[in-house]
Amino acid sequence: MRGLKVGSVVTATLLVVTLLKVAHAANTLPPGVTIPKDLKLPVDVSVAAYVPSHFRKERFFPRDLGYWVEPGKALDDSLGAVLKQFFTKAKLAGSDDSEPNGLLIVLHPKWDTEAGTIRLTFKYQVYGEKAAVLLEGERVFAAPVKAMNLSKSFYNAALGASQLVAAEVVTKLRPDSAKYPAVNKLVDLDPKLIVDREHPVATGTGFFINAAGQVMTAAHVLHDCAYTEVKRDEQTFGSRVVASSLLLDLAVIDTGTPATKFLPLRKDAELFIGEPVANVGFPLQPILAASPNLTRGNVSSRGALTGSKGQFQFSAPIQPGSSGGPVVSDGGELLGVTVSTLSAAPLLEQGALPQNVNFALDAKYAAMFLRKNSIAFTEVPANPKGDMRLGNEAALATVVRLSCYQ
Amino acid sequence: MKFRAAAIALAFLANVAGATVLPPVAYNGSVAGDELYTLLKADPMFAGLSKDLVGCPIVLRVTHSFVMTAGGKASGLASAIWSGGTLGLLPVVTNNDLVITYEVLVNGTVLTTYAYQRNFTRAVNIWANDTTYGLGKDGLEWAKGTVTQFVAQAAKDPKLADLASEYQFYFGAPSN
Repeated sequence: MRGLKVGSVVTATLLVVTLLKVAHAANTLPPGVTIPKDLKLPVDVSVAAYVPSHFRKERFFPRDLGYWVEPGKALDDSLGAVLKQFFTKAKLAGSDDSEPNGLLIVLHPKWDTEAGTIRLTFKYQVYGEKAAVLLEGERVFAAPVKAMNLSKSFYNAALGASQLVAAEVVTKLRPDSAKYPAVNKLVDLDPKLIVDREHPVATGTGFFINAAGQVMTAAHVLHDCAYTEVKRDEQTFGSRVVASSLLLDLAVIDTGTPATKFLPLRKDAELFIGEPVANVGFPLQPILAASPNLTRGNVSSRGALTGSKGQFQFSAPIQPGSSGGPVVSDGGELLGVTVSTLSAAPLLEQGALPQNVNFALDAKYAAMFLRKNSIAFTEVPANPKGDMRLGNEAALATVVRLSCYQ
Repeated sequence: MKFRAAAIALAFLANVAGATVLPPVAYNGSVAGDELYTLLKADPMFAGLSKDLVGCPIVLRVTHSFVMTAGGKASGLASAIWSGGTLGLLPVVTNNDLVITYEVLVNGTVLTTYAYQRNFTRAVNIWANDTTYGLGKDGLEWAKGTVTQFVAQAAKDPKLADLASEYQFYFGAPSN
């Protein structure tokens, strides 16, 4: 009985201590950080904060732990709580947000683990009217790893780092709604200013589909890009998405620059099993040089994986970064758009190594997509007199490298 | 009476005709896979659900997570000490929020998400064979109940209706 009583006291004490710690964490600043006494929180200014979306969605499932660990949610929750604590009106927003705000804060996080801690580094810029940089810097906060609750460790690190940034903003800018009226929109900022230009979140391939300079690619290459750079030879262009389909994994972007060469689709999109094809892409960037990489193979099958739709199988080797590239016949007609490959990892566990099992969206569906979205394109009948050089040249002359930035 | 029954039947048919029926969907679940899968597949909207469609562009992913509560953390620690001290004779009592998340992905991109959360206290005996996937009896029953909530919300989701419509445009009506 005495043991049970001691246990109850221990439990109650731990409960109270934990509750106090939670309340304390939400309302106090990290050690060594102070806010001037004359500043009352929250300060009266509206704020929109941009964080690259791939960080906000980050999560993983360690099999040993058996539950999801969600750094992205930790980042969202902690930053949201801190913004609310420091500013009268604040929100996390995407690069296309059109609501006017007084301050626009762009945050680029970086997670590290070191000596039993999870550390978050925030690089940040604060923008005001006419895209003027009012403040920029870098703040770091480390929180101890809690093996029982890794998401909480991520939350604590993000909470501390967010508080450090917010404290610096209010201390150095002393913002209020008169000084920084709500006239600035994230959507009006040049996307090149807010993205991390040193580290594209994805790279892929596209190809000109018409003389207007519109480029076809796989939709997943452009997923959540705040800025997509199109590069052909030494020329680079910005772009905007004209049409996109998650279901087909297909998209068209507009470079705004006319193209002298573009790929026609094979009329009626008839596929011949075994016919030779060329695939061109910009794989494994930046490990491989940024010059187009051409591989050759055959149409292996009219079908793809069980349950897939609108795809065929081809054998020309592809790598990460080849997505969105054209699969071109020897006659120089577009047969398909590279979308995926058979993943080797799960099959290796069963003792099988898949070789050159790659998938492309059939150009028949690309044509339907283009018609549906009123995008110009050309169709030509199958050219039986084509040869390898003609097909290769048609593919090489029209491909572009795509880099997605957030 | 006959007239009334016919009116009810017509209303039902009109409702069925207007409901979204999804094309084939691949199922991917982290917990209670058989139980949740069977319940989902019984609904006409998810009649095309399958565990075998490895290449399907549309995937329903059902995952679970536990969110620790402040009180649960303290009592769980004390309970673990007690359980350890008795070499597992006493069960570990935990209290946290169970979250069941339903996500519809299209070619790997999340199209829509629904999450359901409830607090549970569970007594876990480390020597016992757990047939509830670590959810506890009440947790498993509640998790099964989330299927009804999810299906009701999914039926009204315009993103899923658009997806079904786009699928039909490109590939025709699903045969399931």
